[in-house]
Amino acid sequence: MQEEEQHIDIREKLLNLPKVKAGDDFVNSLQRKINLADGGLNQKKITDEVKESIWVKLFGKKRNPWLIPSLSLTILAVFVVSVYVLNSGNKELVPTMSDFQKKESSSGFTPDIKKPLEDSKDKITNQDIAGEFKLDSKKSDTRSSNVFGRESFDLSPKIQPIQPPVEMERMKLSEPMKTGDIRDESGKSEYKKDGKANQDHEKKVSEETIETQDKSIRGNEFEQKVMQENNKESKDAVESKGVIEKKAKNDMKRAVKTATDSTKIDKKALEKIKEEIQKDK
Amino acid sequence: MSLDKSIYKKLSDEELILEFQKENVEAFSELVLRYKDKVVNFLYRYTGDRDEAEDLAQDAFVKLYRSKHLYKEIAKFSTWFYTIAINTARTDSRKKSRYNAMSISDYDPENDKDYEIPADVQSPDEYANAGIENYYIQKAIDSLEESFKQVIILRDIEDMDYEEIAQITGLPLGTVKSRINRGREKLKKILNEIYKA
Repeated sequence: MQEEEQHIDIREKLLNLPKVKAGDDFVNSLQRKINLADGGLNQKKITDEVKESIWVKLFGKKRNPWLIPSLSLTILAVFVVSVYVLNSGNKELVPTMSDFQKKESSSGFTPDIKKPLEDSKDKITNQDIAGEFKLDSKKSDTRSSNVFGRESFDLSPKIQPIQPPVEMERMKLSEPMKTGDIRDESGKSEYKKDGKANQDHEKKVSEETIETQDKSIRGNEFEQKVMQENNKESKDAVESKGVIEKKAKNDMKRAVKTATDSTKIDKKALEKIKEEIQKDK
Repeated sequence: MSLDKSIYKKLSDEELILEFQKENVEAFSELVLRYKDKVVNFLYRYTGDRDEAEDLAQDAFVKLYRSKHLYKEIAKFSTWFYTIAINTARTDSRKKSRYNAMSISDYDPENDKDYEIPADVQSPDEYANAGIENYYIQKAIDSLEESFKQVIILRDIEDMDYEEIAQITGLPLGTVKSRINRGREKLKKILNEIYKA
């Protein structure tokens, strides 16, 4: 109370200030604001209902019983289609004999080759051939699959032979020699000392890679020849059924042999390189 | 069943808000009639702008309309509603302070600072009816810090008791008393400075 008496003059002045009243339009504008706020609330409620509707329909109390089986069926259908699409994609990667025959027919030569094959009693099943081919494709490089996978037997320079794994290993082995950050006890780098050895090693590696490339080119040429022979033979196939089957088998075996031979050569080369590296060390 | 309009006038504020909680809109309109002038006056003294005060008062009533279910009988309706009004004014002033860098809240007559007139203060012509003195008093209130301003207005203009002010502001009773005292002193100094000038 004492504090109020101290500032009684200020208090009186503040109390005597004129009272400001609300305008005449105050209630109307308030009504407008409330209506706007109500509109916003109603809109929110509507959007909430829309948002909830899917889940409420599925799992809520008011769920529709037909939605669950229909949803499960659609999910199943999507799954089946996706599995089918994935499997069809894998088939394309590993061509079968039937694909080979189809491609031959589409390429334009020996359209009548199918008939004798189909008619023959001892016809080769696609599964057998495909089985053999799959084994070979695992053993050898991917060129073997390309041979049968190509639509036309055009060995244009665009199709580059894939480097065998032996070459990749050689590359890995040659990498640390290039960097040459080996240091001796005195701290000086031994790069200069081993420079000549590295150069020799690189030369050898490059020679070997050239050899393997030549081999692969030879293999391609051989494949070309095989295909040309195939063309000739397939023309004669109309005359004799058994001859065609035998030749087809022989061609397959030859192609497989060339593919396996190329890998064998590479393995030998790899062993040689390893021996040389051990000697250097 | 809604009650007769004349009956609402006899009901207390607390009874009216309880009726409004039962979706009786007539009770709300009665509350608007009772509080619109008080709240507009309070917000006018707080902001120093009549239009702004009316806008804020309307916003406070909209908040009351939308959150009527939050009221509980523990507190007085007036305390609860003034709290809504103060919070509305505070949030609005915060929003404006981001855009309007000019402020006189840091006014200290002890320092050699010049007295700065706020950017949105009305001209003296608008205060012709109220008198020049009232205009300067309002200017002095505007120049007070917010913490002093709200307790001074609630105590010396709205004539509320300390307990009620403590409830509205959420401050301890002792803090409220000291702030009122310090606020009055500051107000006196500011007015003396203005009259000298």
